[in-house]
Amino acid sequence: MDGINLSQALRHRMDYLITRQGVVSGNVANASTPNYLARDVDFDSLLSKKMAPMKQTDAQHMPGKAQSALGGVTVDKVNIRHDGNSVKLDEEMLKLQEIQMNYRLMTQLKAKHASMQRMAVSSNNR
Amino acid sequence: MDLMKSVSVSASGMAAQSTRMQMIAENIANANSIETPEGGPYRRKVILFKAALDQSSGLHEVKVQRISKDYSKPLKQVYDPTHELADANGFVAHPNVSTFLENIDMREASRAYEANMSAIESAKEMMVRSLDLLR
Repeated sequence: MDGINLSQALRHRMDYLITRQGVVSGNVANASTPNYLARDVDFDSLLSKKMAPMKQTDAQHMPGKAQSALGGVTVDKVNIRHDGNSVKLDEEMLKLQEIQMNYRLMTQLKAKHASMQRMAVSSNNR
Repeated sequence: MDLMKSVSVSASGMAAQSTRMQMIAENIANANSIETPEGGPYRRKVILFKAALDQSSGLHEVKVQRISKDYSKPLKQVYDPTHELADANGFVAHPNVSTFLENIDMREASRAYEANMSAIESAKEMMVRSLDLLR
């Protein structure tokens, strides 16, 4: 049972990293757009949204989406430059590296997990 | 939400920055054009970017809203009474282009272009990693 939870957890984390990669790419693209505020997503809020989808209280309501594309988006309103933009390219580059490293870790864990499962299955035949 | 979306966001950033680069090249090339088809000296062009929300992914792409002429900076008045375009006081109006300023802008555009490029690289790396899981 633990194994199933692990792969689910990995999937959530990878989903989050992909979402964050997109958000950071958006920041980089808008590095010189006036009045654009830098955005970020945090893992906790995105995860809690996925865990608890909105409840349907009436049959005629539209069903709440269990997975919102962008969960807890935080907006940087502190470091605003004179053109109203708060993107710092160096920070975004750092974030990209961090995301990439984390994603690499997740894929390696997933591969290792799969190979362990394979080992468990194949040792039956020996 | 997938990585191709974030690649297209970065691509929109690169397109915007290269439009900006073209405009800067135009400004520098015309730094000394004292006559234009519309009459008067060349005026420096400025670009305005706009963040455009992509509804399907919730990400912000960048678009060029408009390229306009810069009327906030006055034209340079150069005293040259013998010039055929000189006014009654002997001044000739020169474009309000400062090559120094354009150079700085150009640097910024090329850095931003590079940054978008590395965002694409990182998305690509993540895609390759995901594909490697199939091996």
